[in-house]
Amino acid sequence: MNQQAEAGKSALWGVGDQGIRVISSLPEEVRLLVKPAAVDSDLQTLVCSPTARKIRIGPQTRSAKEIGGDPKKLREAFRESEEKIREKLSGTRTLLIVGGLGGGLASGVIPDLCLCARKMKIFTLVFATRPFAFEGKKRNRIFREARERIEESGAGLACFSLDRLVGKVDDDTPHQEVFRRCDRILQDAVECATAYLTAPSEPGGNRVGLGNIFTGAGEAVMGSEEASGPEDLVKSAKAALSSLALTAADLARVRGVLIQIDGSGPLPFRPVERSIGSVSRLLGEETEVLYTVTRYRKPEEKISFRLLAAGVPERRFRADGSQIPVTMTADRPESRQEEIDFNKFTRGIFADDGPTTREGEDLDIPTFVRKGIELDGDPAGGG
Amino acid sequence: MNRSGEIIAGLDVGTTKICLLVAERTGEEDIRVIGAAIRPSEGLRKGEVVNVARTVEAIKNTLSQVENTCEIKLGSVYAGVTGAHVESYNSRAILPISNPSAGVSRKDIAAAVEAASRFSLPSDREILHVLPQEFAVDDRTGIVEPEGIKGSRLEANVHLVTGRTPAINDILNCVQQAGLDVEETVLQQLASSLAVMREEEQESGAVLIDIGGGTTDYAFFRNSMVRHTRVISVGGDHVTNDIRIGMRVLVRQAEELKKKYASALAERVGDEETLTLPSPLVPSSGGRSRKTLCRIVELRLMELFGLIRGDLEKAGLLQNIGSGLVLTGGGALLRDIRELAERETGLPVRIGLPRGICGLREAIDSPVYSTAVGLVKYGCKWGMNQSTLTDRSGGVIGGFRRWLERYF
Ligand SMILES: Nc1ncnc2c1ncn2[C@@H]1O[C@H](COP(=O)(O)OP(=O)(O)OP(=O)(O)O)[C@@H](O)[C@H]1O
Ligand SMILES: Nc1nc2c(ncn2[C@@H]2O[C@H](COP(=O)(O)OP(=O)(O)O)[C@@H](O)[C@H]2O)c(=O)[nH]1
Ligand SMILES: [Mg+2]
Repeated sequence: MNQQAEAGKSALWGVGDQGIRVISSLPEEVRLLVKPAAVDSDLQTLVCSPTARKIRIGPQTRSAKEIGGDPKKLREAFRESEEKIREKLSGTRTLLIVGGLGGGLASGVIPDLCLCARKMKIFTLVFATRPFAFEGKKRNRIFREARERIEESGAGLACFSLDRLVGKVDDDTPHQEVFRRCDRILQDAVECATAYLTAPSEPGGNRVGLGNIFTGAGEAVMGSEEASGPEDLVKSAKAALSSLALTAADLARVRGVLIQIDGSGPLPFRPVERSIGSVSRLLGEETEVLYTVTRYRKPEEKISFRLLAAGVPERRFRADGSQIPVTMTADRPESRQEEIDFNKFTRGIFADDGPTTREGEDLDIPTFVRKGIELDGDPAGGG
Repeated sequence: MNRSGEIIAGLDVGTTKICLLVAERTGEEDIRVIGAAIRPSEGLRKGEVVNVARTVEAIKNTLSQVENTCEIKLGSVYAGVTGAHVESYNSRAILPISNPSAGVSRKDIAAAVEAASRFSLPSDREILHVLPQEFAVDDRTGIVEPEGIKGSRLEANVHLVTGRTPAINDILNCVQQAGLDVEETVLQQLASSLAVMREEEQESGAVLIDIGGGTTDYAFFRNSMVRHTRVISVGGDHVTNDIRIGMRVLVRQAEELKKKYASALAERVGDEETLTLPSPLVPSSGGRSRKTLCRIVELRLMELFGLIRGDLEKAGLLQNIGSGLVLTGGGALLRDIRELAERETGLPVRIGLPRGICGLREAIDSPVYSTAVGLVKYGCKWGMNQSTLTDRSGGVIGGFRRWLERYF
């Protein structure tokens, strides 16, 4: 099957705020291959999205406000929109879905979307983020419920833990930069999968491969490095692999990896072989390795080496971002509630600006945070 | 369309909105707004340009809207400036009077003001305004109009407003790239003061506080002269950011919560009042306490007014405030902010709306437009085409160039 034929039957839907953000900034080549669409219940969000295709979930008869952020109500709303969604999906062979789980919309809608796609025999892959532990128990519960339902639907799932990502962030990295990196990771993952999916092969062959590594997959991690030329590829492959911060034991247990080497012209075989080999020799007996070499880059750009590992042993984190040791079982209660490192997250919309300093205080940080004032009955405020 | 009067335009390049106001002056005091356009501003942070392309785009949009609706071609505007880079000083100089028996001449006055403003500026700074205060001739102090007074020494006191040249150039560049010339750059709070303050207030001592999105700009007036100006890089956006973090909502939701439900006085809100979030996207926010929201806002504004009060106190001005505070800018729209400001400063406070201008009344009847209206009024008062600059009150706010012209 040629690339265009598969591409014409693939769709990429960004669901919820984060999902829509991710699909809006994909490279042109990828957008042409998968025709992204923005999905939300909020008209305003859709209106603001630069993506040409927009799908509104929920009935026009009820205001978005009434639906609330309640995943249950959103599911109801989804049911009412199902007809419309089936229509939009008809003729689709592969559906890629992106969103940040833990919020209302993505968590409520993505599992139902997967079910709906399954009924229509569409091969479905979800790329999602798992909320930070500090975002609270409720969001993390919503996430787990959504994940379970997605897995039940039979769709493939690559779930990127934000806490794991932050393990690699410096102390003074701005808050917004962290979320930009989350977006970036989802973008890279979608690009990798799209590249592989639309690469020439046996009809549907690539779908089988992706299905193998993503079904029931649980956590995924993504690394991406650039090489200035083919001779540098091995170096960037190693860098990408080490950026995943997986132990040798973890690596041996990974279910599958998907590698995309993207340049602007034809690449010689040897550097490709050596770079991928430097990764695969560290993987386990059962780990599946999929790879594709693409030419999406512009001549002036470097070669990129992207590595997505799926089915990675899960790690758990405390609300302060520290990792819970593996020996600690899930049912053992956490010993104490720890505080969030405020300076890291509280400059909010001013994260990218220089601080407004007055007598040693950064006035961009909320007053109530600096003064250490507990906001009554509100867990988010006090710490 | 046939326009008989002179066209004057004010361009307020703010952190949250860009506003272009075009007025026609048909008589001395007869200013009529004939066109207004407003666009969200995305290229500024805390009053300073960070993204030229977006700012130019927004200015162009306002321009084409105004030009189309008014059927005019606009050449130049008065533009506002603000930002943390603005710094002000009081300065003075004493010079011998050139011909003591004839009394102080215009030349003496100009020379003294010049000398007082020859403040040693770092190379990346420039003077935005020279605002003459009182003069003294020998031992007689507090003279407003020294011309003709006999004596041997003339002392000039001036208030100097300076800004960082690159920051000012950024604004100039944006306006120019949008196809407009800048007649003059005017400190935002001075523009706003022209739009909202009463003469009695400026006479008896009052502070104009313009609470914008990115900055809070204020100016203290007494005896109809500017004594003190200051820009604090804290504004309505900080209130929004605090809400966003404290209530765990998205920025636009925080903005909506602020405008719809926030009060600056948390005590006025019942413990049991809960909020319906403006958008369904954050599930955990159903049934949040309105009191918490107001508490977040109150804490931020208490701090802001505390900073202003402390600064005025340090400058020794607090006891010279005869009238009180005049709040304007979008931040002044916050519920109960007047009462909070009174509580925090112990001074009488009122909310200032732009006045003294007619036409499109309902379009500009909000503190959000104070700066734009003030810029137009500034242009009318000290515009290029103005031949009579003898107006006494001209001493209050005149650009450097303009002021010297009066005396040469
Ligand atoms: N009804 C309202 N209640 C509370 N705040 C409001 C209301 N309307 C506007 N604001 C706030 O006012 C601010 C915008 O004010 P304004 O238009 O005077 O700012 P600006 O001129 O764009 O900014 P700056 O002067 O700082 O460059 C925003 O923070 C906005 O949230
Ligand atoms: N608040 C916030 N969350 C983000 C951001 N980027 C990613 N996320 C994550 O995405 C999750 C869902 O957020 P969102 O997409 O806004 O929710 P939805 O639109 O209701 O599906 C959050 O719980 C976060 O873990 C961001 O910029 N801000
Ligand atoms: Mg303003």
